[in-house]
Amino acid sequence: MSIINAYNLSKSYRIHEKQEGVKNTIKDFFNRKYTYKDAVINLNMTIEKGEIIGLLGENGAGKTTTLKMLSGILYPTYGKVIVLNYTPTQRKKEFLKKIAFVMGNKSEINWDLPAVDTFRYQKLVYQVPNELYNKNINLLAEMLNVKHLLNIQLRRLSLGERMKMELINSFLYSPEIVFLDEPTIGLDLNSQIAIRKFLRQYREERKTTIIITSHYMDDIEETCDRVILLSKGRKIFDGSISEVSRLYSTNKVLQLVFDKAVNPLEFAKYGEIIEFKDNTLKLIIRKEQYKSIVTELIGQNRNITDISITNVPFKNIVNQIMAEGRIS
Amino acid sequence: MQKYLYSFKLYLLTSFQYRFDTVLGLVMSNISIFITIVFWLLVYRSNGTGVVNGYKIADMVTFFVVSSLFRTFILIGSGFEISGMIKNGELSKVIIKPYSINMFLFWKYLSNAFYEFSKQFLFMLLVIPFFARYLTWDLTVHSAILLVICLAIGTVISHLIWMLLGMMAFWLEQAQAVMWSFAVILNFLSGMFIPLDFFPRWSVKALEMMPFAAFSYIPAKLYMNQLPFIKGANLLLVYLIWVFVLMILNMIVWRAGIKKYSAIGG
Repeated sequence: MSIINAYNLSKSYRIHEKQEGVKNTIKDFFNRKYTYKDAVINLNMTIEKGEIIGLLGENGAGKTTTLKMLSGILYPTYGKVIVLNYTPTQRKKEFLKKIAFVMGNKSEINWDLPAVDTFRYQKLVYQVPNELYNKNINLLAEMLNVKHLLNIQLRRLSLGERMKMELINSFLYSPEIVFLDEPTIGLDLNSQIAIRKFLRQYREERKTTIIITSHYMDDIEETCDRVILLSKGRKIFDGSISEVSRLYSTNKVLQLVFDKAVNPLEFAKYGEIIEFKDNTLKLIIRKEQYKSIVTELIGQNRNITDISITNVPFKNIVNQIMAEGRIS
Repeated sequence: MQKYLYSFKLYLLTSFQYRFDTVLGLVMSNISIFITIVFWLLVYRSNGTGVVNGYKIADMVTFFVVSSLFRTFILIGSGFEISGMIKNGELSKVIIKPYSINMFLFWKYLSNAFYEFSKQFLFMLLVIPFFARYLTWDLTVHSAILLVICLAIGTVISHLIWMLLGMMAFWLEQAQAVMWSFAVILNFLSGMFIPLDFFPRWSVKALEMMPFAAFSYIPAKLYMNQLPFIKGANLLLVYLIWVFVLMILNMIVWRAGIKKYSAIGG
């Protein structure tokens, strides 16, 4: 059952442009120049209940604008959005109680008080029954391992701990859809891993629909069922992660393990060397050539003890697609 | 309603988080009223007659002391917060909450007003014994009732006016200069610098009916028992009409403005 439907969704912003310097500042004060930037262009998408969707794209690709239109923060310039059978911009209370929006760069929790005070407030705002509130707080705090931090003033916590509190704050009323805008921005690796694990586990238990934007491809690869790639406001791909590799990767990674030291440059003719350490060489080779290369290497006496072929990592493929702006 | 009351409590708690700041604020927030009192004492001393425009020295000091206390309920913060939220995109966080942003800010700044009022009131209690002879004590029960109602309406009016001014940021982006300019005008028209009955007689009636008079001038006059009950009650009705008009204006401006909101920043 699809719970988010966007039809020809477009959003353009009016942007004030000004040249540098005093003279131009004075000139600009009297004669403003505005341009229009299309942040999202004719976006169509459907999201099913319980899916975790990754919105990917370069800076300014329209990811956050899309989330803001889906949640009702922004009015689309053109097009239509229906979320949970509501028009988001009408901001009906029943709709707002079913969604949550976590902004990685904006805190919702009172900085000067322990997080638990804000949670109590959130409980009243979303009219969460006592029993469910206590159950959710315990469950979420345990899953994110922050139970011991609930009574500490928020400003005393680390960035990662604060983000975990933001997640608790947004999940404690059991929303049906959660929009996560860069939830792991600036976090250390351990916090990133903990948050990814939490998202996966939470979705399994509650079947919550999660839409996530992130520049960390690991966030997407480890949590999402499906990705939507945006480039310059347009959708360029919509499908599963494995499909991204299948459709867009023209290469494979060839790994060779040697029983003694070799000169890696002798293998440069097969492809691009990406790593060489502990007598193990990794090369990116053309997909259509890998059989002939492997046959050739086996036929030669190259002191190879092991050969393996793997797909190019997801993040490399996405970066390549973004760089080339390829359209499906 | 429960959520607004809790937010009231929450922001009150926040105010007490920093002990040194709270204690220092207790003293410092009263400095301006002392400067005003000293100013008027000097005026009366140089005047020599002991009466200025019908105000005896005790009337004048009382007017400014109680006005200063009542002015803590002018919710100027609502306007500056909504304006800042619109400008830097922070509005995005609250716009998708299942509550009224207007009510949210009202209770937040009412909480702040109670905190400021308590600080000033406590300090006044401590120092009153030293200048009790400069104060009048004519408050009656009837006036007290009108005073409390007037203060409550004045608080709501101040919030609605400042919200309207703050929402100009939907169109101007940076509305601070306009807001500060309005602040000076509103302060003047509410009797912050001189009592409104110092103005020409023909204008006093009109000024009293303006919503700004409800902030501190009329409550101060009620405290000093210088306003007949019927006149006070009639003015309260006028202020209630202002509340209604300002609520409608707030609704219209919000609906038009929110479509302009660009939710700037990530």
